Amino acid sequence: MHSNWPGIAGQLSLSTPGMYVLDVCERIGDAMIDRFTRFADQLNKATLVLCILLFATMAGSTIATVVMRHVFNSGFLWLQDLGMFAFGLLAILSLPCALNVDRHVRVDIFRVRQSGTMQKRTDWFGTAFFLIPVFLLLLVYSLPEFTISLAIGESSPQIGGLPFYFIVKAGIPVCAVLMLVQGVALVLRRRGKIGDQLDVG
Amino acid sequence: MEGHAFYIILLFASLFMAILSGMPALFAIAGAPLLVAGIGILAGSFEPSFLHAFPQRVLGMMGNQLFIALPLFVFMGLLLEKSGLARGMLFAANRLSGNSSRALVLSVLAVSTLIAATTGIVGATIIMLGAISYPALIRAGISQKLASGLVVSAGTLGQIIPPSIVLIILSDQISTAYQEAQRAKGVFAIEPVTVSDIFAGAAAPGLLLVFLYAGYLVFKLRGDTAKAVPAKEMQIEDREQKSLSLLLSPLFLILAVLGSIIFGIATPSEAAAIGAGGTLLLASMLQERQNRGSSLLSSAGVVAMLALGMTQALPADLKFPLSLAVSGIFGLGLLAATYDLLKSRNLGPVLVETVYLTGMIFGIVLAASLLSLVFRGFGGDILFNELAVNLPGEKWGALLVVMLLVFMLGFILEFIEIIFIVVPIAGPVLLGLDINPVWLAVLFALNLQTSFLTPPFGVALFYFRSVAPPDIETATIYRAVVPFVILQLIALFIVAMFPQIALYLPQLLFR
Repeated sequence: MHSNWPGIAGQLSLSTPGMYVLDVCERIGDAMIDRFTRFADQLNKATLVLCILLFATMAGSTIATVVMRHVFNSGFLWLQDLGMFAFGLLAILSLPCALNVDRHVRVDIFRVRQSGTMQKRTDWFGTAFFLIPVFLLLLVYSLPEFTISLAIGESSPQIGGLPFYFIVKAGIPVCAVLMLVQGVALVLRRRGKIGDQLDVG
Repeated sequence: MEGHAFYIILLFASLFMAILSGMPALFAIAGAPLLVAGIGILAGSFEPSFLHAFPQRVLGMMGNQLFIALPLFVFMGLLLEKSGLARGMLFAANRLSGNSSRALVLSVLAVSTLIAATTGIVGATIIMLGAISYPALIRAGISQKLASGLVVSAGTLGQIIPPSIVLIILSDQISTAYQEAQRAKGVFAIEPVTVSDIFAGAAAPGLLLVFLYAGYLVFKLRGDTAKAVPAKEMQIEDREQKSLSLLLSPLFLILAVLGSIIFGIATPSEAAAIGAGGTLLLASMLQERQNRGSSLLSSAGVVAMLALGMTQALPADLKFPLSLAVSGIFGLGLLAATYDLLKSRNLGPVLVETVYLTGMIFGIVLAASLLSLVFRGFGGDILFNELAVNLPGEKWGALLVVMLLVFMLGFILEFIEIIFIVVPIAGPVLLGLDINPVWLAVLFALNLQTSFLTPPFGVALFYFRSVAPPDIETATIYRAVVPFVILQLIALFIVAMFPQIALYLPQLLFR
């Protein structure tokens, strides 16, 4: 529907002032949507780099922990904690990365037979009634837990572990916000492409 | 509290409709329960405080030590594929088997088993087998049907043969269910079910499955006489030299991962990190276009890694300085290998893909935690318990129903959704009926093998379709998996009849 407008409005824009206004509005809207999806992509790049660094930290500190224990019979709790912290953040922040490239599992038995329009309707429906409520709920419920944790400067549940446990807790509301952004960007990015084939991921 | 049967039915109906609509399964598994809970809250039959536990559950996922192994094994499997290590092994298998079709099928099966024992990511393994072994099988005169059946079923062995992602997720869910079942009985000194137990438990049944496949293949090819494959075709593959190091490398990785678990050096999660490090070193060592210096360092790293496993045997006065030196070489080797692989642009894509697959897995874990909260909020656990107790045949009746359900769900869902939907619900009920948790986990794992192969939504079929030559019809692929699914069900039946096949090794190793 959306993509048909510029053509019709474009042809008539000089003859009818009403259509002209519509056309301008449409272009402003398009520009804003483009800006938003580009912003989401930038955000995703940053998240992806962060996730890779977290992965490397997790792998490195886990290997170091094993070597320390097995070879030198000693170990640092903070090192183990570093691995756990990195894992926790990786586990939650990798979700929006996968969403940005539409890599979350879909059961597409019926989807492959749907038309492009139908697929887009499903995606809108899924984002509006499934994704948004779930991650709004997560955001609303996890935010106070994070602020309390920050206020008391909560440290690792392990005795002798790292301080700054609130950084791990911050991962949940951050993930919720990123999921909302990436989920909306995902449907907006596809808005014009009618008859678009299914991305097989 | 009583169960609300109406809401539970509504919950599952909306869940399956949403999943089948084709929206990401993560949205469906988390969103449908939330919508139904919303209706329940408005009607006054759902206590909203259940939802408050959601962030806590998510935090639990983020702090689950066991789950560290998942991204690491994903990374290991992807790097094995990307670096050409696993490819080289398959080429070596083609070459070594010479010109006998029977030798070829058996060596393809053997190499798949080795890849499975290093880690084995279903998608990556099938794409490789489809691209490398399938053409060789066809050249050796094996029918399209048998060849594609072999490729898809051998490619899924990675998920039953430890270490495996399916087994890790299963052991997490089974041990939670087991604790719940024991607490319900009033037992509080619970012997935990560990992932090591489940790895050990799945080893023999996994090999049983391999032997069943092998027996079937030999039986099907019994009349075949040796066929000469033109020497020219063989030579195309001869570019891949280094057969010896290629065949030794999986053994090195198996020793590094499974060895360190069995000898008590590392927990399974730590073993996954060791395996990831080992794969990094090997990939850099065997890299085609390589920098001599870093290749030398990564080879030294491999030797150092083996040496680290044996430092306990050193005399006391030499132990500290030698260990320090060896650890230093190991660390340097890892850094050099990382640099080398980053420079050759092999590591970057693997890391990015690892993040995506990690997100995919934890997306389902996060969603499933909301599903289970809502399920409990409506008293679903109580309802299922009543249902199971009233089934005929006590534990066998309940087991049969659950196994049939898992098999049926396998036609439409992937293993990870099945585990998170079925185990938290059926697990505590079954385990309350005096079923051994390790045995149950192995039965689930064997049953889930079928979910990879059963159309229309068998993941293995999709991956194979993406690399299979266009002249092979999808219907042929569907028919090709039938005998292998039957073999999987036979293996399931054998292990169900003789629990000792699953239970012997864990008892031997860890009791």
